[in-house]
Amino acid sequence: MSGFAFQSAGSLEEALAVLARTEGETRIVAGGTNVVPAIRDGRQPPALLLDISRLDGLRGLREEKGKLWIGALTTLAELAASPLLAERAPALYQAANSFADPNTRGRATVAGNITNASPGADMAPPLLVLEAEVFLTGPAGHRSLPLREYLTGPFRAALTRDEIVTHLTISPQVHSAFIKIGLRRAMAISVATVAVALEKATDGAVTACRIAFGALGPTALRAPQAESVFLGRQPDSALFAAAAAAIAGDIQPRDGLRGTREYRLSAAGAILERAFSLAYYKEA
Amino acid sequence: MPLYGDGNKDSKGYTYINKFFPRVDAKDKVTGRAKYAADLTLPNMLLGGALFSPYPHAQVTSVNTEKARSIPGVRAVLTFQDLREEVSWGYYTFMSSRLRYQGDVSAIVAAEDGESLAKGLAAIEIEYQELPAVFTVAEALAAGAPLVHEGNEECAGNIWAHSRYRARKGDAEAAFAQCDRLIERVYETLPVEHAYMETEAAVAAPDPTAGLMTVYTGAVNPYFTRRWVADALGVPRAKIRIVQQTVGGSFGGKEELLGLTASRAALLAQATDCPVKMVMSREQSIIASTKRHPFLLKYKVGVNNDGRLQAFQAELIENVGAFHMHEFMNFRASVHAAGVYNIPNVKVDVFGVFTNTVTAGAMRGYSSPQLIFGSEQLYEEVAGELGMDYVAFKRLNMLRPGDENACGQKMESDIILPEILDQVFAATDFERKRAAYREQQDVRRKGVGMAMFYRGCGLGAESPDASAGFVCVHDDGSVMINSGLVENGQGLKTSFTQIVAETLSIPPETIHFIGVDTHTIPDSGITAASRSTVMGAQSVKLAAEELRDYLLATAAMMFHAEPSQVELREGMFRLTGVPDAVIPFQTVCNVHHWTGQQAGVMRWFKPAPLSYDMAAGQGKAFPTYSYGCVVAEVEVDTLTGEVTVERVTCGHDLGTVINHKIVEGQIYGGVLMGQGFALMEGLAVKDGLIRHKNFDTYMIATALDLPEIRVMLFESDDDAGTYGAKSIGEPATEGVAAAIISAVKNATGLTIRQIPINKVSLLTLLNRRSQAAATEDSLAGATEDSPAGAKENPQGAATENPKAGATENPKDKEGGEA
Repeated sequence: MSGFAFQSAGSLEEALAVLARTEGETRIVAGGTNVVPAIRDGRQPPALLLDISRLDGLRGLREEKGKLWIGALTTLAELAASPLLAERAPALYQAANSFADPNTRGRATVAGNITNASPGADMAPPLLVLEAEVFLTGPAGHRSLPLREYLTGPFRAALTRDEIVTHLTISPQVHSAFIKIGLRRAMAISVATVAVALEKATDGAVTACRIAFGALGPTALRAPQAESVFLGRQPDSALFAAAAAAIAGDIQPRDGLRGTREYRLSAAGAILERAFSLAYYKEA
Repeated sequence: MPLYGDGNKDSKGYTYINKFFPRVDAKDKVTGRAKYAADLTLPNMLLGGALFSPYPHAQVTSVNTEKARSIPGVRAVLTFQDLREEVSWGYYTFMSSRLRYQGDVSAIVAAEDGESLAKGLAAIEIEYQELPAVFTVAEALAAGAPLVHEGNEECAGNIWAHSRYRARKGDAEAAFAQCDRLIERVYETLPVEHAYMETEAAVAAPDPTAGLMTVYTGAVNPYFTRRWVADALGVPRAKIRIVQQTVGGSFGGKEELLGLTASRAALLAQATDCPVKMVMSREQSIIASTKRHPFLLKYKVGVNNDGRLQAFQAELIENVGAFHMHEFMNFRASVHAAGVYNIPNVKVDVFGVFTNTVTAGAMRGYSSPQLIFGSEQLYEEVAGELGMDYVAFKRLNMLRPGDENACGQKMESDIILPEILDQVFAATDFERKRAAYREQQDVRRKGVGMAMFYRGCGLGAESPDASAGFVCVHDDGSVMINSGLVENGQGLKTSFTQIVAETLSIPPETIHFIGVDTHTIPDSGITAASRSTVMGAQSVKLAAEELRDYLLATAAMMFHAEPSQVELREGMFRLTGVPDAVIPFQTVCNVHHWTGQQAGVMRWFKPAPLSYDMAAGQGKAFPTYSYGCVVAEVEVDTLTGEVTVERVTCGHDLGTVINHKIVEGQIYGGVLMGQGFALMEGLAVKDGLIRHKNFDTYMIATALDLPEIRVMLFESDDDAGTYGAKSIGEPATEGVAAAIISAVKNATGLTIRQIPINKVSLLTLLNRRSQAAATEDSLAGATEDSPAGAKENPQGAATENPKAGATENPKDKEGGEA
């Protein structure tokens, strides 16, 4: 592997300075689980790979003002082993545990997963339903935006060339769940994923409902039509059937190497029901 | 004979075989001490690379290497124009201007480092004219189809003349006219990648000591590799030395691309007078290496209403891709096509068709996994048509001692299949579960299924099953052994060590297995066909027996007795009847050496001749057969199409178990491969180009996908193999896919006629059946019979198979009896 320069930043300031200086010929690398395979596949390497994996201030997972703060460099292995996440945000915890294998989880970072912006990015649906906010820093200072605005298209994120993601925040929701369909049980790129987060009243009626799908559109996407089916209702088989029917208006599945449009549409309804039930009946 | 390990572990009375001994190569492999070809570094070594075809079929119209040669670090650029002879055997080309598939090569480069190599390959100025191509059997056989090997009469009409094999028994045509019912079915399988961990690698070094060239590589047959290299360089075989390295998996596949890689490295080594290492990337390995033969299996069966099979006719066509050196696979396929059943009238024809797509080659099972899937599903369908229970149907028609199989070979030795069936069924609670699972309506449905099968041990009448074995002792009592067959992960070194230990009656720890160097031991053929322990170890055993006699003579001299009064037992020479008269093995070896006695023996073993008439497709095909039954238990998620293989129980006839841990290892790996073949694997090829080029898209099962595997080993009395051993390497995988598909049918009621079927294809089938049930205008059963046709999902079940499931049963149509 050759044809590019490599620099490891010792501080966020240094990293930002390098980005400012090199005007977009630079690619940020943290865990390398997307960047390195892309270079190996023969795609044009960037002039400079800027390694930010030593920026320890961008790591960690903690509760902060009722939200969960997740550092950009937090690995999926850390998410997959977090009791806090397991208790407060099961959807994200389950997604991290379904991702690739222990080796890859040990390197892949949460910000890398969403910034790569694969339509099937496994962290994106749970982060969408947990109302993730993405925090960026750049020459103009800090800014933040909701994840749904951050994901702008397939393999496109709203990160300018001189910015770095520092952290995310999520609104924890115990009534949340994630389900993934891959062609095997480890090291599988998703064929379809779903995340659900909901709130319910004491009578069991759903008072808030957020549903997001992965690998079923150009980006991970929310499913407003399916969400509205559940609002104010208690789930039953008729409701699930209605939600499954409503999905067609929310998602844009396509034929691909891993699955057909027909399959994705059909399986999405099944996993929605299961994820919804997991979230709904999860003991708070 | 009883189940091995069931309180009867020492029933055969052996000392060093028939029990566990740690693998002799295990420690080196797990600690990283083992060296594979790609690990080697020699002084002044260059790296070699190849320019593969961008098209499935093309003619090179111009090539200019001037620019490539001028790149710093590039030391040699060779093209097809530099070859004395393009074509080797099997019509494979070392390099060629006519590129017949994506894995063909037009030029090779040697350079000082990887970067220069990549630049050199990229700088070759080459122009192609793309040629019309054929990809499927149907396209290749169509009138006026482009020819893959134009001008070669042996490949006329894209059919390889030498690949035609047949089996004949009775008169199938006449019997069809007499049968109560005729049933026709078509099944299909897709190409499968071997997925060995080590890709093809070779280091070729100019070596005057060896003659001309020494090549370090890990081949399934170092003698074939020697032939490839000698042909490429145009020199006698005696000038080429192959030194076998640790093999990182073969499963039958380390042959064609391995031989070509070694040859290309040798050509570059000759041109530069430097050692050259060539290592295939994973993508190159997947594109250019052979695959499990995809088969089109067309059957016609005649059966009477009492369930007795009367006639079996099969036309088995394999898509061989652009090249072929596996005509003998079709011999095996013809003999085994009808399965382990007694059918009075049989007509089997097998042949291969050339296309401009990925080439097919030997892969664990050598047609059996495909054929067992087809025939076992076929018999389930036939039983269903008769309204019979399929297990009862199979038991009724099963081969029994004294019966003749499909090629008319009389089954002379014991057939322990009934015992295996009984015990495997009892251990799995098979019959109860099967009945209980039939009428499930749940989203997640359990299923249990089975396959039963037999396999001719060794090469049989395919080619001489001969091999060399070597044993020698040193003055300190240590022993060195060798064989012309190779360790490729199956455990050969360990089982051969145990066999010599048993023969000499010395502890296996004192024995060292050398490994193949083609300058030291004669060509013993390919390490394949599950022949090594069964047949290949016979020569080592013969050599050990002869050496034992020499040592007994020395010991007798030391005892001042006759050799007949001396025995060698557990490392000690003993004088019969005199308990205190004992001399250690080492002491005798020392005297043996210093008195100049013969201390080394090379012996040749060739099994008793078989009388098989290839042209007629009749006769004694194999010296003996091993038998087996696999039961698979699955759960099908009918809303996602996911099949969870929960448990696989494998009952195998081992004859004599040499080392049960190695056997278990073979079976675990065999189940994984069979599961992949049933549910996951299946290479996507579109217009001749492979779409699954690495393991991110080509799915093989991971540890998380593995079922619980239960192994039941049965022993039998049969003297054909070494110490009565029978084959297991290939039996371990051959029935697994068939059993899993049978279980999926038990769970869902779906008949599956094309594998692999992944969750996408399975859900598509399930949904179509539901839709058909919902719209009442569809014919009953029509959905079940439709092919798995998710057209954009080649890995599951890719191609439309319009003939699959066409029930061409005149009596059915006329009488409407169903």
